[in-house]
Amino acid sequence: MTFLCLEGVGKVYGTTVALDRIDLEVPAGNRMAIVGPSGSGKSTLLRVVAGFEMPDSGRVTLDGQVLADGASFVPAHRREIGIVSQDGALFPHLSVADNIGFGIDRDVPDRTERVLRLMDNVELDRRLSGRRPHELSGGQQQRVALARAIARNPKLMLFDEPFSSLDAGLRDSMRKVIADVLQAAGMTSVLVTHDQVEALSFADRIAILQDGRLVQVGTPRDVYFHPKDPRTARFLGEAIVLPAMLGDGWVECGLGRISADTVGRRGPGEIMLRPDQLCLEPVAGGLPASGSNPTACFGRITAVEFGGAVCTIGISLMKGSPLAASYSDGPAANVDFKVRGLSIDLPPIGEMVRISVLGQAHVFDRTT
Amino acid sequence: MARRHGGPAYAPVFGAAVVVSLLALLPLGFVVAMALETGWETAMALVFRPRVGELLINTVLLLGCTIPAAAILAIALAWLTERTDLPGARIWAWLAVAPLAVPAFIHSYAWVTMAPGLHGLAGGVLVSLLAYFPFLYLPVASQLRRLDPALENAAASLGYGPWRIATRVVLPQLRIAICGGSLLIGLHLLAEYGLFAMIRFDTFTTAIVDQFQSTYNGTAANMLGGVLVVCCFVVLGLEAAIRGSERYARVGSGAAGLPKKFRLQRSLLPCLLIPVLTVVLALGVPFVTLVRWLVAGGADVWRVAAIGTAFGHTLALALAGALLTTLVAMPMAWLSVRAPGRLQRALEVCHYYVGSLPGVVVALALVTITVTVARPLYQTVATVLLAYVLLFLPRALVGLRASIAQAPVELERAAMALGRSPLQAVWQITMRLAAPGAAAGMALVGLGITTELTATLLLAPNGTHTLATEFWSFTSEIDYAAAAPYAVTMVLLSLPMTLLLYLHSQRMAGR
Repeated sequence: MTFLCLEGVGKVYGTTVALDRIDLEVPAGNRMAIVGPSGSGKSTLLRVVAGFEMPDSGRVTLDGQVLADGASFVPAHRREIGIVSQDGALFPHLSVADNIGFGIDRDVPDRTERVLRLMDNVELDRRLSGRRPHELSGGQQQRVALARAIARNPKLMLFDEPFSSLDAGLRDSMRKVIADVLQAAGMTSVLVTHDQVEALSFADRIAILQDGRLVQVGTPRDVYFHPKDPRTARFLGEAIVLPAMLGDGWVECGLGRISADTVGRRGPGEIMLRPDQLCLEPVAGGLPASGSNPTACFGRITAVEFGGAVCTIGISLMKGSPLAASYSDGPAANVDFKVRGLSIDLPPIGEMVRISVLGQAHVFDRTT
Repeated sequence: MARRHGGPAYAPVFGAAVVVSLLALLPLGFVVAMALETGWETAMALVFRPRVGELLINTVLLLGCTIPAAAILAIALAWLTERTDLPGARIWAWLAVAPLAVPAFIHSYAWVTMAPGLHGLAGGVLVSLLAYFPFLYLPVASQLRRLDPALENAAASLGYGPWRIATRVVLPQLRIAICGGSLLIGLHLLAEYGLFAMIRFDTFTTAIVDQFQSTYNGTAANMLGGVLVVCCFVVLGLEAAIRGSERYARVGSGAAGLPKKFRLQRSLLPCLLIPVLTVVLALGVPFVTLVRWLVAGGADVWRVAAIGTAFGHTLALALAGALLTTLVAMPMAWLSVRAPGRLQRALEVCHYYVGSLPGVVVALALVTITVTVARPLYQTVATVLLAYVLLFLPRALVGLRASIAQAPVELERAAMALGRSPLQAVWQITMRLAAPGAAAGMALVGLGITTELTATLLLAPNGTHTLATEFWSFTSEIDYAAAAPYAVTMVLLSLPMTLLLYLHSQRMAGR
C-alpha cells in the first residue's frame, strides 16, 4: 500500500532545476533512503515533503491526504511529519526535557513522564533532562532531536543527513537506535544522505537522485548489483566497468567469459562487476603454458594500499593472458582495476595472480 | 543560492515590510511633493538665492574642515592606543569614546560659557570635531586591532620601510572604517541643530528651524529642507564612491596573529600630549563647565518636580519609541536574513535611508502632513513617536538583523514540524533567540531619543517637556545654571549607550 506518494514534483530556483518531475512512492512501514551527491536536490525533496518549501508543480499525498497540489498546500505544522536534521536543530534556549516536550501539548497530564519515557526509548540518560543542548555531545543531541520528533507520533519521519556530524562509532549506535525506534513504532520513514553505505545498510528501498532527476529506485541489493548506468554504479561503491561482447547467458570481456543475464541482447555492450566479486589466487612460477586453460585470466599486482580493515590492491590485466590477447585491439587489453584484500594476506607488488569471478556480471542498458 | 525564498509564509511579512517602507518614504515623498506643488518658478526663486548660497558654502566648509581633522585625530589616537606601548592605552581608548556620552549641544553649551567669543566657522569646526571624532575613532581602532600583522610582515620582507607600510598597506585597509565613520559624522553635521545654533553658525538645519519658528514660512522652510536632503544624498553618494568595492577581508583561513606594539621610546611625551589634549578639550571642558554651573546655581537649580516631570516624559517617550521602533523593524530584519532577494534589498534601502535624513526634515514632513491631511494627529505623541521610529529605524534594524542571523532557519522549521504555525515558530524561537540583540538595539534607540532635540522641539505637543527641550529653553533664556541639571541627567543617561558602543566595537574585533 502506498503511503507517501509524489507525482511529478518539480522545483526551480532561478534557472537551476532542483527537482525535475519526481515520481516516488513509499509503502507504509517502509524505510526509504534517498541518496545522491551534494547538489542533487535530495534536501530540496525532503523540504518539499516536510512542507518547508512549496513545489512549483506536481502533487504530494500522505496516507490519502493531499499535502500539496497546485495552489492547495498544507503548511508544515499541520502535516504531522517529524524531522531530524543534520545537527539536530535543538532549541538552544530550552533544556533537554523542554526540547523533547516542545511538541507535546502543555495540558497533557503525564507530560513529564512521557518525556522521560521518550528519553529511555532513545537510550538517553534521564539525568540529562535538565541540561542545555550545548552541554551535550553530538550523539546525545541527535538522540534528543529524535525523541523530540517522535514525541508527537508523526505519520512519517524524515531524516536529513542525521549521521553526518557524528564519528564512526556514534554513527552505528545512532543508526541502531533509529532503526529500533522506527521498528517499535512501525513508522514510515525517509532518510536523505550522500553516504551510500549509510543508505544501503539503513533502508528497505533506495532512491537515487542525480541533478534533480530520479535515476533508479529499488532494494539495496538490486541497486547495488544492477545499477542503471556506470555513474550510478560508481556512486554506490567501487565498480569495474568493462566493454564486453554479449552472448547467450554469458559475456566475454577482459576477465574472460562470465555468466550474465543478457536478456536476449547480443553484440557489444558494457558490463559492471563489483570488486567483491573478484577472487585472486597467487600463481607460482610465472604464466602457465598457453592452452592449458583457455578461460583462465591472469593479472599482475601493481599497487598495494594498506588501509587497516579495508586494503586495496591494484591489478593490471596481463597481455599474455589468452583472452586478454584476443581483445588486444580494444581498450580492455590494458584494463587496470582495484579490488579489496585482507590485511593479513596481501600479495607483494609484482606478483602474478589468477583472477576468477564470483556470481554474475551486470549488463548495463544500452545508453540512449 | 539554493535556499532562497519560496517558503509558504513570506507574503504577510513582505506586506508588513512594504507598509513600513512606505512610511519611511513619507519624508522623501513630502520633499518631492512640495517641490511639485510650489511650482517651478517659486521653487527656483527660493532655492537660487544668496541665502541658500551662503548656507551651502557654510555646509561645505564645515564638512570639509571637520571630517579631515576628525580623521587625522582619530587615526592618530587609534594608532597610539592600539599599536604602541602608550602607557594606559586601554584607559585612553575608553576616554576617546567617552565624548559620545555628551550630547553635541552640551559640548557647545560648555564651550560657549567657557569661551564666549567662540563663534562662526572656527567655533563650529572645533566643537563638532570634539563632539564627533569618536564616530571615526571607534571603527578605525577596531579595524586596526583586527588587521592581520602578517600583511605588514610580508610588506617588510619585500623591502618596505615603516612609513611605506603605513601608507601603502595599513591605511588602505582602514579605508572602509574611515569612510563609514566620515559618513556618520557628515550626516550628523548636516542634521545637528543645537550645537550650531548656540555657537551662532548657520547651517541648513538651523536656518530651517529659525524660519519655521519665527515666521512659520512653510514653503521657504520646505525648499531649504529639499536642498538639505540633496546634501545628504550627495554625502551618501560620495561615501559610496570613495569606499569602492574592493576586497579587504583577510584571504585565507586561520586566526590572525597579534600585531606587535611599536615602542614610542623618546617620542613618548609628545605622543602622550595628543590623547591628553583631546581628553582635556572633549571631556574636561564639558565637565568643568557643568561643575561650575552646578556650583554657581547651588541647590536652587535642582527644581526636583520640574526635572522629575521632564525625566518622566523623556523616559516614557524613550521606552515607547524604542519598543515601537523595534517592533516596526522586525519584519524587515527577518526578511533580510531569511529571504534575501531583489525586493528585500529595495525595501531595506527604504528602511536605511530614512535614518540618514536630518530630524528637521522628518519633522517638517510630519508637521505638514498632519496639518494638511491628518489634522487630529497634529502635535500629538503619536506623531512624535512616528518621527522617532523613522529617525532611529536603522539602529533597531542593525542589532535585530545580526541576532536573527544567529538563529538558524532549521530551528524555525523544527518548531513548525512540531506543530507551531509559522508565526508562532518565528515568535517563540527566532525572536526569543534574537531578544538580546533586540534589547541592545532598543537601548540604542531609547538613548537616541533621550537626547533628541530638533524633531522633539518641532513636533512635541504642548506640555510635553523632555530633558533636551527643557535644557534648550533654559539656555535660550541664557539661564545656564538652571540648564546644568538637565545636561548632567542627559550625560548620565547617555553613558550606557557609549559603553554599549564601545563593547560592541570590541566584540566586532573578536577580543
